[in-house]
Amino acid sequence: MIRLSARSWRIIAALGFWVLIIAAWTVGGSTGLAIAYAAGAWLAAFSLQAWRRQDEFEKSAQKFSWMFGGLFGLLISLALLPAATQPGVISPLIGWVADALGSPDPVTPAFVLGAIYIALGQLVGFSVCWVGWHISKR
Amino acid sequence: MKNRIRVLRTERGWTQADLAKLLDVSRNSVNAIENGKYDPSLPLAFSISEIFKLRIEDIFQKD
Repeated sequence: MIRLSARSWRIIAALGFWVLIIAAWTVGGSTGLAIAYAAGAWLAAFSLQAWRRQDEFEKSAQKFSWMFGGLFGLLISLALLPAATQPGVISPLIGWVADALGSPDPVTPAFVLGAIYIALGQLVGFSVCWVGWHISKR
Repeated sequence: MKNRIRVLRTERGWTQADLAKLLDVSRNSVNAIENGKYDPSLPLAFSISEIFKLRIEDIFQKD
C-alpha cells in the first residue's frame, strides 16, 4: 500500500465517499442503494488507512473524543429530545427529509431523521471534545 | 511524568520538527511530550531512548 499521510488518506476517504453518495442520490433506486453501500465501504476502507497512519498522540485524541465526546453528545441529544419534539420544531425537517428521500412511507423520513439526529449529536460531541483535548495538550 | 527531551533535543541542535521526523510522529506530539502534557507509550519511549542513545530512566522521571 502507498505510504501517504493520515491527512491524505482522510481526504481520499471523504472525497470518494461524497462523490459516491452524490452518485447514489442521482441514480436512485436499487442501483443507488448499491452505490451508497459502496460509499460506506470506501469510507471505512480509507478511514482505516488514515487511522493506521496516525501517530499515537492523535489516536489518543480520537479515542478520548469518541469515548467522552460521543457519549456526552449522545446523552445531550437524548436530553434535548423533549424540546426537539415540540410541535412545529421537527415537522419541517421531516418534510424536508421526506422530499429528499421521495419515499411514500411516512415512517421512513422520521426514522432517517432520528438516526441523523443521534449521529449529529455524537459528531458534535466528538468535535468539541477533540478540539478541547488538543487545546489542553498545547 | 517529567522528561529531558527539550534539553536533549536542543543540545543536538534539532527542532521539534526534526525530532518528530526521526520518531515518525507529528510535531504536536513532540511538543506535548516535551511539555509533560502527554506521556508516550512504551514503544515510543524506547524509540526516543534509541534516538538519544540514553536509557529511558535517563530521559523520563516520575513527578
